[in-house]
Amino acid sequence: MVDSHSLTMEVIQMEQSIFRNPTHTNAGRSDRTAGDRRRHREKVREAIHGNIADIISDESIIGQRGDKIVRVPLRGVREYRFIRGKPGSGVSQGDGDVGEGQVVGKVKKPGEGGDGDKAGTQPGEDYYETDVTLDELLDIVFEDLELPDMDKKKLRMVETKTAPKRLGYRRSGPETHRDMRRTAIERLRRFGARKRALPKLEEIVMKKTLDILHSQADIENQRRAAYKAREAGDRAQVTEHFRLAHLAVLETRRLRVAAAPLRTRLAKLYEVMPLSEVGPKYREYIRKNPKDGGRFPFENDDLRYKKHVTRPKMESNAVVICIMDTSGSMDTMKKYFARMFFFLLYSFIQRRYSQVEVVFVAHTTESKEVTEQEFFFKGESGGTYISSGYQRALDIIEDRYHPDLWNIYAFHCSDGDNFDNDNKKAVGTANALLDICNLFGYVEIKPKGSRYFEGSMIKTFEKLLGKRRNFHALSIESKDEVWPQLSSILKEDERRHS
Amino acid sequence: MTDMMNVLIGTENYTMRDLQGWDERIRELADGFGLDCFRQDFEICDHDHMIGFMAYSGMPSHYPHWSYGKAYEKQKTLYDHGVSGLPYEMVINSDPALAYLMKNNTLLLQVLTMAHVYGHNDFFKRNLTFRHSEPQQTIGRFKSAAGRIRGYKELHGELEVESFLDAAHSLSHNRNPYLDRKRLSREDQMARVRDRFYDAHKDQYPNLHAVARVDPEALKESLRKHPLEPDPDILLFIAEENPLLTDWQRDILYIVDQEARYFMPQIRTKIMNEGWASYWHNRILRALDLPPAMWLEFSQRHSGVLRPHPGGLNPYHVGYSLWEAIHVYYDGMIDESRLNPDTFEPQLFISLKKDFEECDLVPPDAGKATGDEKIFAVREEGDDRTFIERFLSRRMVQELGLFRYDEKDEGDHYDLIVTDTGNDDGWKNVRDELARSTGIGAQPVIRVVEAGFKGNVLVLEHEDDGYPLELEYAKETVKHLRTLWMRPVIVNTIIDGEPKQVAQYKVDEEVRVRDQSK
Repeated sequence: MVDSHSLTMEVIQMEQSIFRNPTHTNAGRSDRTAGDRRRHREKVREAIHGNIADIISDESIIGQRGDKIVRVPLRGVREYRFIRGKPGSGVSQGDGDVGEGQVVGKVKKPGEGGDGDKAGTQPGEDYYETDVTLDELLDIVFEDLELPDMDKKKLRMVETKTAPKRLGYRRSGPETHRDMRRTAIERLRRFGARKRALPKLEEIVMKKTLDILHSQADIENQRRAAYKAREAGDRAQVTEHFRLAHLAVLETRRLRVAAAPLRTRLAKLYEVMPLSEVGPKYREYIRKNPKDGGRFPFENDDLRYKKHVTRPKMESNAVVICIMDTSGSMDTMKKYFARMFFFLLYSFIQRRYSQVEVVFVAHTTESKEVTEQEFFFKGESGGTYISSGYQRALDIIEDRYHPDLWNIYAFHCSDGDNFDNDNKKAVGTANALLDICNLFGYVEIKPKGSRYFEGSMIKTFEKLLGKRRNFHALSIESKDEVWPQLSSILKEDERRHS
Repeated sequence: MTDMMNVLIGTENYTMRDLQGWDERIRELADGFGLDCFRQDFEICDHDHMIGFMAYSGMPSHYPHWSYGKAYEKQKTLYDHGVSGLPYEMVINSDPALAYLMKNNTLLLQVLTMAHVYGHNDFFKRNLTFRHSEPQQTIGRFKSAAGRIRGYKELHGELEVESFLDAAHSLSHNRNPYLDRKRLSREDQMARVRDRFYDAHKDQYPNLHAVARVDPEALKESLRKHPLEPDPDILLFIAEENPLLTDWQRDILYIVDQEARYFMPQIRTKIMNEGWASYWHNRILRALDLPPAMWLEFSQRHSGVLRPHPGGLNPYHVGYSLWEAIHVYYDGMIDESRLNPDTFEPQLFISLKKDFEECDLVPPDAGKATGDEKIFAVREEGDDRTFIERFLSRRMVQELGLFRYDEKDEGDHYDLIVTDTGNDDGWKNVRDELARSTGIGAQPVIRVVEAGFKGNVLVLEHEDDGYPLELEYAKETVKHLRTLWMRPVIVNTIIDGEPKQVAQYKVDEEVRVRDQSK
């Protein structure tokens, strides 16, 4: 049954192999993966962007510190195919001690705890999500948002950090900032200068050399004159000529010293690198390849570095007043939405406007100013007078933030279940707030399935305040809507200008 | 240039000339053993380039796509964190064959790599699976494809081309894996349908039965089908049958399919091919008469390559062990004067002989062919599936520590439960499962069954092999199919025992799963 043709041993000698070492002849070949890697990174970033609403509606991020790690699913960068699902079977290698019925491993189910559509451990794909810190994530999230309608107010200006910008070049700096193009230009410039300097320098050196020669001739002449005088027996003349000869020696020495640097420079120009200045290996090389002696290497003076400056950008000073309804009707779910809204708003402001002040107001039928900690983590109960929260805000503004000097932003989260007898007052105070605020946002939280007979302020407000340009009424029904709604306010400015 | 030959390569103490010297000796030995190779080109590279080559499956030229950037990042991360080392060898099936040698590897590692590469080279040239892989054109084809796709990107926009490539990539494995099976034209297919029709109705026992007749209506119905027979080449079918495709889109489908075609033989022969190369590097290095230090390193490296991967499957290990078993067994069965004393291991032979007999695997040519003759014949013949079916015996299952497992639903996770090991009769189940699931065996079979009818809907069918489709992946892949077909797409499959359709009608619409009857 053996195939006979395969048994005929090849008599023909195999062809000679060829060895190539391309890195040797073409040092540092271009990195062919660079383009594809760049595109991949772009897609990762896009994927994070696309999932933002999902990720930040996760309960666990509220009030967390910036270094918390968040796991971000990356659907855009998964490569889908038709593959086998679970449960399946297979063959594997063991260490020899495997017996029938033994459990040798576990595979997590996809979408465990989710709606079956969420990412889980998928077969055939081992790299589909990435870990980022909350800080990084929020940076991406808030990338293109800003506080709308910021006016220039008269007095204090606040600094907002801006990214460093390129501004010119300098002679020293970190190596990573070295600008090779600029450095190469400097070298060429120096080379050109030397070339141009050569004829002129030659002339000067020639002149100086002549002076030295004249001076040397003078020494000789004076000495000769002195010898003649000695023969003639004229003692006074002898002394005089020797004195002059001595002066000429001094003069020559002076001229020599003065000319020395110029001559060295000329020597350098002639023979760009004097052999005495290079190491033995290079000297040997030059000896063998005399033509290469004219190399013109980079010097430290040529190095140029990119200069970066951080110019602080000045913003008008601003205050953001967060007003939250903490009454009994605000159940856990509603409070959670409200807190999520404020957490995102607060993180955004902290991140982008380091100098912006934030004031927290919590209200039931009464209101008080609270700390950040209390605002995000403390619960209360009682009835609802929305107006009390607005009044507190007005008081605080009157007290500390004069509208002529401050940009004022007020946001209020409530379920809109206000006591009827307060509605009129609420609209009145809201009106007063709108008079002095750059923007006033009313966010009504009505989770799906909440009792429909609960009151709603959104209609009342919209009827009476809807025409005011700086009034925004939003409603949030599910946690997915928190982010889109908030970002719609923060993008408002952009839209209006475009 | 001649000076370059004497320059040290990397940090190790050898030069190009040294490598050439070793290569000459290895080639001589390979020649003597009877290996039949293409000309072999070696290229020296550093480890960054090696990761780059790996991302592009070794191709010196390849069209750009972000997935290769992803592959690179992944490899690099694994390498930088020491999770995986770089492969010693990377060789591509072309004529001349091209392999890479990594700078800073030890001299022994380079010698080992070269010997290993000659094993692959021979396999590429002589194995039947590779017969139609047209190795002379490999590199040129990849290069030309790269140029064309770059051109399309310039002309039609990066994103446009990228999203089309994304879609094509997702279906590239759904193709006929057998390169020797020609794609039939519609006329040929019609002839086949007719033949089949008449054959089926040909009655061998007309005396016993009422005379069966060809029903002309049924034949007409069959000949009207489009495609006539279920078509496994999804990309090619779309390229041929979708009139809405522009030229560049059609070309991309052909390019992606060509590349998948190139990889099919490699996927189908992973165990044989790696085993063959390992088997020959072992024999060649043993014959090289290495100095003691190199010998020591070789033993270490060799056992590193062949160590079992608990929880996985090391194709080098499985393949090598089978080749060795075949060789020793056949050598043992012939008379002593003809066997190769260098490689014969009597102990192994005795247990193998017993094993082959007990497992009822005794081949008819045992005792006729020598070990060398047999392995050269087998390397020419089949793919992993036949290789395993023919030669994996109980002893080998035990020795390799192979076992079969089932995934059992445990609520929030799946338990991997061992169902069969090499004990008792279980080895047969292990062998059959391995033969079935190796290479392309794990790929669900999905074929085009209908196109053009009912509002140009493309209907595909998932062949029921007892394994469900991964639904989330199937949904996304159906979206890609929709992109390529540009009209509604339906995939018939079985979910939890119920026939279901995974379908997308309009772009940007949710992919729906519903009962097939609708």
